[in-house]
Amino acid sequence: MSEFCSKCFDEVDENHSCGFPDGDSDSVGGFAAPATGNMPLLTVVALAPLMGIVFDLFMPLPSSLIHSILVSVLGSTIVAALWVAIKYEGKKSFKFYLKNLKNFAFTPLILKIFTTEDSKKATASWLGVIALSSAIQIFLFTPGNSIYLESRVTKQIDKASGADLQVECPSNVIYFYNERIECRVKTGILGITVPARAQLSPLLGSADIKVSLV
Amino acid sequence: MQALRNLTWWFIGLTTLVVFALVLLLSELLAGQFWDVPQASIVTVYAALFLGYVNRFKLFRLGETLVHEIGHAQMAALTFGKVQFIRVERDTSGVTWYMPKFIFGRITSALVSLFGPISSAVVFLITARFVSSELTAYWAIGAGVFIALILLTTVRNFWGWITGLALMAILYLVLESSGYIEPQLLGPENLNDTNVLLVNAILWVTAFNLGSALNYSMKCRRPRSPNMDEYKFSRALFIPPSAGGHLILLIQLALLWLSLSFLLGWPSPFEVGKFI
Repeated sequence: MSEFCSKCFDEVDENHSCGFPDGDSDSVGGFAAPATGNMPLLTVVALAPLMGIVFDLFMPLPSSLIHSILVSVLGSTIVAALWVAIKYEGKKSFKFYLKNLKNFAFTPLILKIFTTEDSKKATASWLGVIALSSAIQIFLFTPGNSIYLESRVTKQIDKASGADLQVECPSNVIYFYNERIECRVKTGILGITVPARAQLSPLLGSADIKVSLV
Repeated sequence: MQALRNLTWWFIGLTTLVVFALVLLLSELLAGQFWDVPQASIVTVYAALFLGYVNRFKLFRLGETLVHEIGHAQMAALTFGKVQFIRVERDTSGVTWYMPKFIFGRITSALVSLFGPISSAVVFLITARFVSSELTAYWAIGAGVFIALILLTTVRNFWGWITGLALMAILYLVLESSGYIEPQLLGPENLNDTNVLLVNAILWVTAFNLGSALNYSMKCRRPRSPNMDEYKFSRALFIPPSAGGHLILLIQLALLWLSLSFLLGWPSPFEVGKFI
C-alpha cells in the first residue's frame, strides 16, 4: 500500500514528496492532529461504520445485506470526512474531498496518513464493525426501510391501475425475514384499508409484494 | 317466524349488495393485484355453461331452480313484500310464495319476475368477482350462512332441503381446502391443489346453473302462459311478451359477459382481452 503524507494528504511517490505539494494541488496542508482530542483515531476509525445504523434510520433503501454493507461504508466515509474536516488544518476544498474519497471510504487508510499506528489491527476492527453495523441494519426495519417499501407498493398499484394510493408500512421492528411485512393501503373508500404483504429478499432487498382485499 | 324471515331476507339482500359493491369498487381500484384465474378454471366455466345448457338430467337442474326461487324471494323482500315460503319440486319446478306490498305494484312485479330468471347470472357474476379477487373462501362462508338461513326460515319441502344441503356440502369442502376449517375430510397434503380444484367446483356449479337458466330463458323467450315470469315481466313493463322474453335473455348474456371479463382479467368489459 502507498505511503501518505500527513501534511499535504497525498500519496508520496517519485513525482511528489511530502511537504512539497504539486502546483495545482488543492490539498496544501498545514497541520494534522494525530488524535481526536479525547478519542484516539484508532477508535474513531474502528467505530465509524456504526454511523451506517444512523443513516439506515432515514435513508429510503431496503434492509438487505448488500445495501447494509454499502450504508455502513457510506457512514464510515462520512465520519472520516467529518474527522478530516474538523481536525485537518490544511487547505480543504471540494476537490480535496473528492480526491480523497477512496481514503475516506476505506477509513483505515486515514490512520496511515495521520498516525504511525499499525493499521492492520484497525482494518480488522473496521471490517468487524462493518459486519456488526450491517447485521443490525438487516434485522432492524427502520422508518427509512419503511419509506422504501411504501414507495414500492405505491408504484406497483400505480403501474397496474393508475391509482395513486397512500401506503403505510410498519417501522422500528426487528425483522427476521421469515414472514411477510404487512403494509396497509388506504383505498379512500369509506376509510377502508387493505393489506399489502411484502416478502423481502435478505440478500438483494427485492420485494415480492402481494396486495389483497383481506 | 315471519319477522325472522323478513329479517333474514333483508339481511341477505343488503349484505350482498353492500359487500358486492365494495368488492367491485376495491377490485377496480386495485386492478391487476390479484391472481390470474387458472386456465383450467376458465375451461371449467365454458364446459359447465355448455353442459348446463344441454343438460337433460332433471336432478341436476334443481340447483338452478332453488337459485331461481331465491332470486324471486330476494327481490320480493327488497321491494317490501313478505316472503312466506319456497318449494323446490323433483320435476325442477318451484314456487315462491310472498305477499307483495301494493306500492309501485307494477315495477315491483316486474322486478320480482325478472330476478327469478336472471338470479343464476347474478350469482355467477358475484362468484366471478369474488373468485378473481381471491375471496373465494369468504364467498363460500357468506353463501353457506345465507343458504343455511334460507333453509331454516323459508324452504318448506324435502327436495328444497336436499338441494340446499348439497350446495352447502360443496361450500364446506371449499372452506376446508382453503384452510379456514381444520381439514377433516381432505388430506392435509396438496391443500393448494385441492383449493384450485374446489374453486373450479364452485365455478362449475354456478356456471352449470347459469347454463341451465340460459336454456330455460331461451325456451321461454316467447312466453305464452300468463304464469310465466317472462310474461309477467313483459306485462308489467307494457311490452310485448316476446320482447320481455328476449330482454331477459339479453340481460343474462350481458351479466355472463361481465362475469367473463372479471374471470379473464379484462381491463373493462368493453375491451375484449383473452378468452382462455
